Amino acid sequence: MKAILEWGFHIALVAVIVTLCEGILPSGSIKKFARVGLGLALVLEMLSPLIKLVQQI
Amino acid sequence: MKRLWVFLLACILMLGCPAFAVLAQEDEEETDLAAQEEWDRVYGDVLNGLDFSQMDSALNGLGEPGYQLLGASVREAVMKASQGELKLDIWGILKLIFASAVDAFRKNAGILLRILLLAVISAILGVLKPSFSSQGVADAAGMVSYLLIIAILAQLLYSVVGVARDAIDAMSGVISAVFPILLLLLTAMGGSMSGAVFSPAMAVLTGGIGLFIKNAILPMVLISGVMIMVSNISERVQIGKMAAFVKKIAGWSISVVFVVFLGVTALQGMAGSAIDGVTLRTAKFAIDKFVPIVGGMFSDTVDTLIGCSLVIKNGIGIVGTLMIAVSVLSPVLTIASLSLMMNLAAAIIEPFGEKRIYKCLSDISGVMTLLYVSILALGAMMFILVSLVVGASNVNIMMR
Repeated sequence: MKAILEWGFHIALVAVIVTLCEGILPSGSIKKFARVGLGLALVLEMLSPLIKLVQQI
Repeated sequence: MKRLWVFLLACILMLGCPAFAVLAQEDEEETDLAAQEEWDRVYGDVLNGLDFSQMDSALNGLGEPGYQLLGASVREAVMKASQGELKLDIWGILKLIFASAVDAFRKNAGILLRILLLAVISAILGVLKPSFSSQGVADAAGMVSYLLIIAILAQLLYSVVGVARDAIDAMSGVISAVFPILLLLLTAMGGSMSGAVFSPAMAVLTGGIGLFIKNAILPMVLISGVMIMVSNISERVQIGKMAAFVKKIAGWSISVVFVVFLGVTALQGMAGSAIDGVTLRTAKFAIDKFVPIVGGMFSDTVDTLIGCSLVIKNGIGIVGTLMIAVSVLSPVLTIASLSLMMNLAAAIIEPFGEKRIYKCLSDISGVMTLLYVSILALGAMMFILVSLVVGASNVNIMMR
């Protein structure tokens, strides 16, 4: 129960942070790259249980 | 001359008949009273020998509806149920359900109004958008109103999950109070094999499945709701699919648990009761034939005892199923009415054109559906288990 809740809330937290970051990004060529990076962070957070599992094996 | 005598005798007999009939009627009334006394004598011992304190406290935990349906004491309810005098009027039950639903609506109407008010304010802000100095300010205003709605929704979702958790606890309490007595009587009437088979199933149900729903399904529902809320904050960061995925996993695991549980208990019930029937038959035959002279009488006494336990056990089964139904009723109605209310709010807000608000509302209502479905599934499992135990012993009486 605790693990599931933690995982879900971490995803939600990262999503909120990503949203805020996108809001304050300066518009320009850097915005594209920053977006990819932020998206990657979100995906990594989603996959964190899988990554832990792989590490154990 | 002889014929005349026969004719006269016949006449006298015919005239006498109505008198006999009246006599017989009076006899019947006496038998009614006598039957009640007989019932008390035969079943009273078994009934008074049982410890109903746990079931009583479970019944007290159910509150008003439980009291209306079954009265204050479990022992009396069981007595009525086994005599076939437990009056369940359908209108009374419908009225109970209706009152419960109205109560839930009234309690949560304020929340609906608050959400609607915020949505209207947000829509008015949207109309005023061109007069703001910059686009950023307008966006921020829209986001603030959405965040306020989210705050209300998060509180609501959390409290609803709490309701579901309490409901599961109450149901586990009821089933763990009813089952020991049922299994005791099942064993008392020669169902040792059925008793042995059902007791692990009971342990799995009261411990395992309740815990599973409480510790896996409810967090998933909570997470799914949170993800839906977060995902609608901005257009660009979307995690709605992840929320749908978590919700789907929760739904699938409920149905898998349900199917596995049904299969296992049904098979076990059949196997156990057939064996018990044969054992019972052998025991009766052995007593009848191998104990000289009084054997026949003794085996009939065994029969009476078994039948008596059966009647009481069926009464307890009826009371138990009613208690489970009552404990499911109120939380399911509360959650279902809230879910309906979310849908209504979404339908009202849609014309204002605030897409993320109505999308979030209708998605959250879908998540709440999962909550009450899981409570209903648990209730159905308990219902089936109790009726299966009652049915199993009937089968082994039949096989005897």
